[in-house]
Amino acid sequence: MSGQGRSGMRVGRGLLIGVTVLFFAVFLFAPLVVVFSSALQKGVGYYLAALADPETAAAVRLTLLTTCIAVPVNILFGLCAGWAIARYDFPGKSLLKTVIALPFSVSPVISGLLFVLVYGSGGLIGPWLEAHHIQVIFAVPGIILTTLFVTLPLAAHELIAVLEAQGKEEEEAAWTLGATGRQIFWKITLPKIKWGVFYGVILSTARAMGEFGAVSVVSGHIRGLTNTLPLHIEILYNQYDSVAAFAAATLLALAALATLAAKAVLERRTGLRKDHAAPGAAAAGGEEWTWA
Amino acid sequence: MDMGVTLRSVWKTYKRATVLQNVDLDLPTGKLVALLGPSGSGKTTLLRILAGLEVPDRGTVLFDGEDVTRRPPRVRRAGVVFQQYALFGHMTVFDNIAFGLRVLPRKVRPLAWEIDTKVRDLLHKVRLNGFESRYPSQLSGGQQQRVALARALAVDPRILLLDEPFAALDAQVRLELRRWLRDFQRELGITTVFVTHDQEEAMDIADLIVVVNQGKIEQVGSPSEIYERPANAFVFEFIGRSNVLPLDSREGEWALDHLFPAIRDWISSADPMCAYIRPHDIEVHRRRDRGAAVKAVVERVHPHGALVRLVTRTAAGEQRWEAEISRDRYEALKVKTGDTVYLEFRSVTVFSPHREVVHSWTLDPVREELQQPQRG
Repeated sequence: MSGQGRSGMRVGRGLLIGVTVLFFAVFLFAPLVVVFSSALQKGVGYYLAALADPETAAAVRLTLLTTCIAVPVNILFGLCAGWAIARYDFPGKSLLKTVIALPFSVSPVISGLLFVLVYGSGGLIGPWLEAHHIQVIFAVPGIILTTLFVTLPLAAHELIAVLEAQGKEEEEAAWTLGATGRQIFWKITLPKIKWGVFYGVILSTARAMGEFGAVSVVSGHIRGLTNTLPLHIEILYNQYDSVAAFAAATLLALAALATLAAKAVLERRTGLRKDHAAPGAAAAGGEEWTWA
Repeated sequence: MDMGVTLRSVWKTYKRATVLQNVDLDLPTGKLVALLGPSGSGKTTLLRILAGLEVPDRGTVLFDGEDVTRRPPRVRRAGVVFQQYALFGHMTVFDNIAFGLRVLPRKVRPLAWEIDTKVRDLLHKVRLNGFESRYPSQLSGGQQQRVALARALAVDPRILLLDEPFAALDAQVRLELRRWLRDFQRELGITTVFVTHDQEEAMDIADLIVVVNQGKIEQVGSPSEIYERPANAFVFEFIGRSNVLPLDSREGEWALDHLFPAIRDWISSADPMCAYIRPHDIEVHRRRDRGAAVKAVVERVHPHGALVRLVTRTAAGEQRWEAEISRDRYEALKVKTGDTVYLEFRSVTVFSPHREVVHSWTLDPVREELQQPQRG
């Protein structure tokens, strides 16, 4: 009887692992393989030529520019918001915490449309911008603003969480010891939350580089000017230039893999740090009052 | 010049709750002072106001006669040891202790070797030699606390403030560490204030106890003053175990007639009073005589080391009396659960439970004399 039960369990275990592996293979691994094999189907030379195309290069540059602006701004804002929410009490604090997550819950296309409605020629401040010859929609500023909007909660969410979890006792201790606000931030707060900051950087980098929907609405798809890498890939694909499309896609895929690797390394390091502390504390516990 | 630390008419409100009401306090230089009170009494807020981490809504804080009410903690030089120690987890013990010296403006900052000497001296004082390169997470609670103490002392504070310093420690370490802290404070001679909810802790080491309740100071005095002459019912009940007899109850009336008639003159029906008796002020007898008048039945017997605690109930069944007798006395009496005993009250204190009227009388029924009323 027990043998039967055990073999039943073994079957269940095999089934679960099988389903997991199959799902992983079909939905995650296969597309990755397809991306790289399609990109290289006409040979390495063609692949490199596709990447060297000036329009592709322009798309890469724009994507990098957008990411390089969006990520630091996000971190800065995340630190401000996290500090304000974790350290101070003010009216509307819980509302602010909810609103910060708004870009998570709104469809990216709607986010893009919101920006058109505000900054577009028929929009809220569009006419004023036009009168001052500032173009936002269908131009680089619009792309950057939209990317900022959709990636905003990623870093902020993370930083609010770590800052709230830290509590303020160490900062208060530093304050009573004579530290200035700036010294407290650099010497106490930042070292404590640096892994949270790094995690926020990784998350918002991934999203900033890959964002499609919202950016698509505001970009105008002007080749070589307002096409980010994801938009450029779509255009190439629609032109039946699938090898060039997949070649460009490998860049994004590589960026995603690099991000994942960084995340894994980071989690391993923070995990190790925790494991490291515990045995030391246990060992030291035994030494209490043996100093006399 | 006014020496020591002084609070004048300090008020503090959070949202709508009044945490401190009109607090006046003088802490003489060099003393070890306990802020004693139940949780939520405002004692921690009082400590945070002394540290400068909170600013009172009204009132002033003086250090040696100098108004520091609005001085931020950075320039106040009050050394604080937080309840959870708040050590900097990413710094070694050495860096933790050196922190207060290293953040000084360049003009007054000691040289590296001076900082080194000072930190090593402090490590020696708190008996943590050899621990300088450890991280806080590698230390026990008692060791962490001593690091926090050394860190606070590094900046030569004018006053040392400790928030529930022993609450997070094991019972045994707690006892040892508080005696050590007591001797250490004497040696340094620095005015030290610690917050506690443990009356035994305050009694054990403080020079001066400040009893705080509901944002007000109930009494300030030495441990023996607080214990022997509590200013009101709250202090009496908070500072030790007590039996309470409402004098408007049936048994209270009987006690007024037979045990302490002298108090009757002080009682008015509009102002119900209670008699408070410490368990160790109740003597237990086997037979009725002049002093041993209250008949009671033993419900439970709790041996506590050198003392034995008897829980008894009066024959009428309404009033429970807890008596504490020595083990010798217990063995001589040979009482057990269910036995009838006679109780003698050696000292009775009567308070009005309306605590705005803080009159109290202490009566020794055996000597039949009424002591002078005290004002709290």
